[in-house]
Amino acid sequence: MTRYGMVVDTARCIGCMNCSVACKQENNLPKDVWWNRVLTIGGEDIDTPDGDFPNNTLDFISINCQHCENPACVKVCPVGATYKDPETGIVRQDYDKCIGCRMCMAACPYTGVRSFNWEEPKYHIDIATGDADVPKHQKHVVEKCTFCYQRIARGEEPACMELCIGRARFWGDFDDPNSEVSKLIREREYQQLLPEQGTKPSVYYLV
Amino acid sequence: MSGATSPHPGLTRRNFLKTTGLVAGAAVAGSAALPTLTALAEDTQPMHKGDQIFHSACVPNCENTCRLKLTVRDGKLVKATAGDFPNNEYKRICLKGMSHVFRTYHPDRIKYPMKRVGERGSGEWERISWDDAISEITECWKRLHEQYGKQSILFFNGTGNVGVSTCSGIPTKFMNAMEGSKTTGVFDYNAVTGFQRTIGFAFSVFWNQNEIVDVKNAKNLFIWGANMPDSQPHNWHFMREAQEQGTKIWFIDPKFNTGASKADEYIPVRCGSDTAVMMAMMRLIIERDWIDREFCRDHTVAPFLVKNDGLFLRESDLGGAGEDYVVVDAKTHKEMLLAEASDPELFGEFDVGGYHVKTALTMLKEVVDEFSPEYAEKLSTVPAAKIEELAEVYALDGPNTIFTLFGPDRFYNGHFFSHAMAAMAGITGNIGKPGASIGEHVLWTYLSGGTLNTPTKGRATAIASGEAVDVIRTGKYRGKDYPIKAIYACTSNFIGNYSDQNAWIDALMTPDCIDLFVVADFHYTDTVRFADIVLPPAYWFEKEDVTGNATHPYAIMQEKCIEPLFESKTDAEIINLLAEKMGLGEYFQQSDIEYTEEALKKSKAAVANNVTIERLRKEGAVRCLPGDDDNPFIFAEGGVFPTPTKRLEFYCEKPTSFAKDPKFDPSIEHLPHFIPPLEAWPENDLYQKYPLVFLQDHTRWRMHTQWAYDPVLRELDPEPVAYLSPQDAEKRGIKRGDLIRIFNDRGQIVVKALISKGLPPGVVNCPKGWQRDQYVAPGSFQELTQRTSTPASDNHIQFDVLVEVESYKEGDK
Amino acid sequence: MSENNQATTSPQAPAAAFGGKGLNIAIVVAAVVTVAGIGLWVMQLSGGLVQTNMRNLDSWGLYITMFMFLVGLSAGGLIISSVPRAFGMEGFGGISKVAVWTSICCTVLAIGFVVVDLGQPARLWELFAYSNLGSPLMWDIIVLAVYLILSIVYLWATLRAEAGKVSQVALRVVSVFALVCAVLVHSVTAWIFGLQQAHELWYTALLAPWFVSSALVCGTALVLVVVIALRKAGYLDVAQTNIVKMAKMLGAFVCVDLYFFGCDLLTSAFPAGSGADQVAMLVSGPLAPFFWIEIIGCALAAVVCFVPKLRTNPLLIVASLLAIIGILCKRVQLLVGGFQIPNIDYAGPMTSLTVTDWTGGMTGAYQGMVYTPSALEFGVMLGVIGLGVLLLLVGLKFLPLRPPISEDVR
Repeated sequence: MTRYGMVVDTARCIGCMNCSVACKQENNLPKDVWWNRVLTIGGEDIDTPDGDFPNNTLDFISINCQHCENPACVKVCPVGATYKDPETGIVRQDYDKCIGCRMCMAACPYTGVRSFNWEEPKYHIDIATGDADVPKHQKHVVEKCTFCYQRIARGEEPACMELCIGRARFWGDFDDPNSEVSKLIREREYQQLLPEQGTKPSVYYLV
Repeated sequence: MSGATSPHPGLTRRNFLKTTGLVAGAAVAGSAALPTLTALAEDTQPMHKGDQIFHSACVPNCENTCRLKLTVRDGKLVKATAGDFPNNEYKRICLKGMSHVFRTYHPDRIKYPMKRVGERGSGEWERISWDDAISEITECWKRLHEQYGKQSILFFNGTGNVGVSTCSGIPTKFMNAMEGSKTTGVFDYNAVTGFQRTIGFAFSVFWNQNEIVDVKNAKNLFIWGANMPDSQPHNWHFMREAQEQGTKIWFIDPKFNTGASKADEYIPVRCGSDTAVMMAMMRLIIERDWIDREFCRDHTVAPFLVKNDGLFLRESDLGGAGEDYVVVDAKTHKEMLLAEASDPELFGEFDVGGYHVKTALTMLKEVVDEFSPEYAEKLSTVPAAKIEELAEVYALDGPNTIFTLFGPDRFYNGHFFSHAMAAMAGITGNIGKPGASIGEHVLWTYLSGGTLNTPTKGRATAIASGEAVDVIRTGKYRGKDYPIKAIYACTSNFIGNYSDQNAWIDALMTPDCIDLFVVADFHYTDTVRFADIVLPPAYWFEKEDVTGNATHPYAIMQEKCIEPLFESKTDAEIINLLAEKMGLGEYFQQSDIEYTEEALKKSKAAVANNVTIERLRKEGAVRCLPGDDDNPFIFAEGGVFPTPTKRLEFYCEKPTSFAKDPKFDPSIEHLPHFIPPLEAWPENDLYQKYPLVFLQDHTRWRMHTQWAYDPVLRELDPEPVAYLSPQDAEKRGIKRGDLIRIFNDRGQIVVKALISKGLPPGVVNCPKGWQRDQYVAPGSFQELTQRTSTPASDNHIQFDVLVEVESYKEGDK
Repeated sequence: MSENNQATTSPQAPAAAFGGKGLNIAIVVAAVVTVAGIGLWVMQLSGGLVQTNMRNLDSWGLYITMFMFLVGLSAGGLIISSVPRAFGMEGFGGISKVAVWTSICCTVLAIGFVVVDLGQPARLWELFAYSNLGSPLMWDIIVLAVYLILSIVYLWATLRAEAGKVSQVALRVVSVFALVCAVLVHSVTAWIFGLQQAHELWYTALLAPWFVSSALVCGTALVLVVVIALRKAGYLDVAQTNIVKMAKMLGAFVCVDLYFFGCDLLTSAFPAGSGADQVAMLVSGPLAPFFWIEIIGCALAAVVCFVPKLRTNPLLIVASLLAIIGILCKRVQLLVGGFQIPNIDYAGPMTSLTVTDWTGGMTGAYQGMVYTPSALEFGVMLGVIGLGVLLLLVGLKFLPLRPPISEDVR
């Protein structure tokens, strides 16, 4: 069995949003759609710290679909359009099947990782960017991070992993105890998002 | 119920642990260092049938110059990602690089030559043919040559493209052949001036660091005046990896930003006061004998004797024939030639051969003496005890590296910042060794197109950038007639980037001032908007060039990936057309890459490092810096400096003015000093009226004004904003999200206010690079900046600016 | 009781007084509204749901609120008519068929609201082809379908029983099934929300019984309104004793519902943890108007129902309407409230698809209600309601829903 997942080293992450743009380009994401967002743990706005100057705190966390082992979204989809890929552990989304009920969006505890195409996808330019194997985006269906499934299928790693400028992202198989990611979570302290939800995410944040 | 008191539960930031919570994980003390990004084999094989892979470089002069891997499908560029390097520690790309497809195919890209039909600045254009455009331009130029002389055409070639032939090559060759006018320096030259006069010009004015892979050898890394993670995210991983291996990072900056949050220690400092801290550090280092005597003796001018006239005492002064420097021997207390002295005095005041002399180190001691830590604390807000700690760590706990960019550079006293830094590095021996260096590391015009520049005997005349607009308005330069009647700008958005924008707009809008304003650019920048004729150049991936202007040690081949879009022509083609009509055709016959090839063949650096087009075509990226991947470049290795004395000259014998400014006073420039910023200083009377220092962050969202219109980045960073401290906002009744007007006597800007708790009161931070039409009201951040330059360096001092802020209501003026 | 006496003086010749021109006009108006609504729905589908004010962080809105509300409304009618039968008790007079028909109309409406909420209604067939039986939404679809069919069967059986074609025993069996199904339909609808740990406001075991109690409140109230109105309109005759019976029941249901709410608030607030934020949001936050309208409205309704002097027909109508509005407010609190406190509220990139008011960032988005419906949503809602009214009226006009004379006697 394979359980692909990622490890993000928050000590290395500088919140630059390279991962967001890498994802946007690779997956030809429509205007205003972001599958991977970097949030500022600090003040009320991006890049602003919390606390009183000069004793401030500022951290970043990049958030995308957590590809949970126990995904809330998969359970609630009435037609099985969102499902767990048994080969890779990746939570996938079948655009052709999705009826647009948004049950999965309501069920997912990770605010904002699922994105609904509220209109016919719009693009800034006429060129479809990124990978040729990316499925066409459809109006009125739910989509989200696919872990760049098209790349995984070819043995590559997701675009955000390859293009992280801070070298803060790691990718691999958690079922393989010798994988880099397995070692990292054995050796380093980590957190997971909303563990109390019991979803068992495949994304780990090193602290 | 905590939330009950808040009407807006969403306002309550939940702490990280609450929303995340630690699940498990063995906490390992001193946790294992992370592996670096796995090097991928150079892949030129496309993943899809029909896709083609090319390699080029991102060349906006952010200094990082990433190698790009570009995917072309059906003749269209569809993807820009990071290209491989021989040493993949340098493999990188930032979010700007990844949005090239959107920039290339931007719907508002300038598609064909256009001529202004409305009033200048009205933005009304009509399409014209290349033939008509070239004829109209050259006919006007010929007329101006006759009427006003050749200097009457002013050329701007900025840093919009740092390819060898595009940046410093073809346009410079053309302006020289035309014997026109150009402007000097403008930016970053304060930093350059201070370093160049002390540690010398090795091969590039901006490279005085060790190669960045060496930073892991530093015991302490001081990042001083540089918001690295935001403005140069490319290089941050080297610093973080060093930190993981035990390097302590000290972050000295007026603002608490991402860099501060990642550092081991953050030390806030008052804007423009950094040099005072260094002066106090040096006083302590000298007072407590923390100096590196050996390094001072052998590798700095410390023992040199300075005469009353400011010059070093030489053999010739004492009637000798040679020009060797004279020092005083510590044992015999007699003067000796430097070459013969084994133990010269570092301190002291002597009478030698009728000259009253002091050692250079004594001179330094005298200027830093004024700066007690307590006094420096008053100036800088850095506590005296912290200054002591900094001094002790820097002097005694090395090897140490100081990394800086251009924050302090943007103040009037900025050149003394780098001068003081060099002096401090010299007396503590924190330079010229692994893990010990100072400054920046950019191979600016290292592989220069400048070698192309002299096809004829003529040369363009440089006028000081800060004065250029006055020259245009008055027709006089420093008292002499100097009419300028036409402007040609390429790879330059100088209206958007030069200080005191209103002066420029006023000059351009004054009737009969400028007869013809031609701009070659691919987007409607602030500069394009005032042009009379606009020419569409090919984008970076639509032609061939080579670039080496980088923070990494490689020259990169820029392959042509797609044909020039619409009617655009490459820079070489455009210049060749213009030159032909101006009767200079014989000198301008080559293609872009032929110009580049010629430049490389003439470039010492290229020849010395075997950088050829053939190798570049084959290898893609070729190391062009001395050293190799196992032995990174160390600046002034062994303490041999590229200066006249071969030593670190913290005492500069013959200071010069970069722009030959008549206001320049060399007598105060030998040694570092702290002088207050010109405008942004509490003791300035203007402070009563304008009590806020106006900083303009250089963020990852734009490169100067490039990418201002990038649609993808604008989704993440949609509108101009300014950050206020909570105290300043409250004092003015400004709430987060309010529109505010920032103003001073020079101009205004209207932006959305955001609150940053990371700002001290008295500082407003307004990320730079927006274009005039992106603001909700007329104005620009450059209206507020001042064009006064430091006489030593001709550097625009864009942070040395005071402003006031008030609420703005739509409809207000 | 005096009310009883009054009641007996009401409609003498119902058949003559009801129907005719007024009903026809009402049917035409309802049809026009329905057609207009369908037009708006087509507009919504072609131009995109972006025309609604639903966005990624508030991905459900008015339609799902109305769905919840109408499932609740539908229950009342069926329960009121089937409970007495199922348990062999004395019924509420001749209103059982009207009540069932109202239920059927409400169920159709509820389904209608789900359909207009869907992004891909043309793919509805997939529900049958690729059913994921683990999804509470699938359960609800099944239960709703069964419920709708059973309601129709029950109505048909009632009619056949009146004609003597179906035995009372068989009718009783059907009514038991219908009753079980009615309770189930609310529970399952509640589970669509109540089984989602992602939304703290929703994730409570109380939600299912609470949905049942809310359904009883607004269902009973609706039947009361309809019956009083129809009696006034002369469509049927109902003994005032039955009205009073129903009013008392309404009062009891309202009290149970408020009791559940109280339990839930206390449980949430008592640990003074994150649940306190939820309570604060309802009591004093952006949803406070809906909270207080519900609390005060329901309390007043209970008072009217329990104080004999206040049990006049106009006041009963007011009380019923207050109860219905109260429950509608409850639905709004539940739906919007579920989105009002995001699990992850850090500052991050916001676009036009994140929330409607995205320009103010995360803080700005949650300063008021994170969601308020757009005009189009109200339009489509009116269209769907128009369809329900149309169905109701057409049923009243063409179906033999009036009580037979014998029923009054019985």
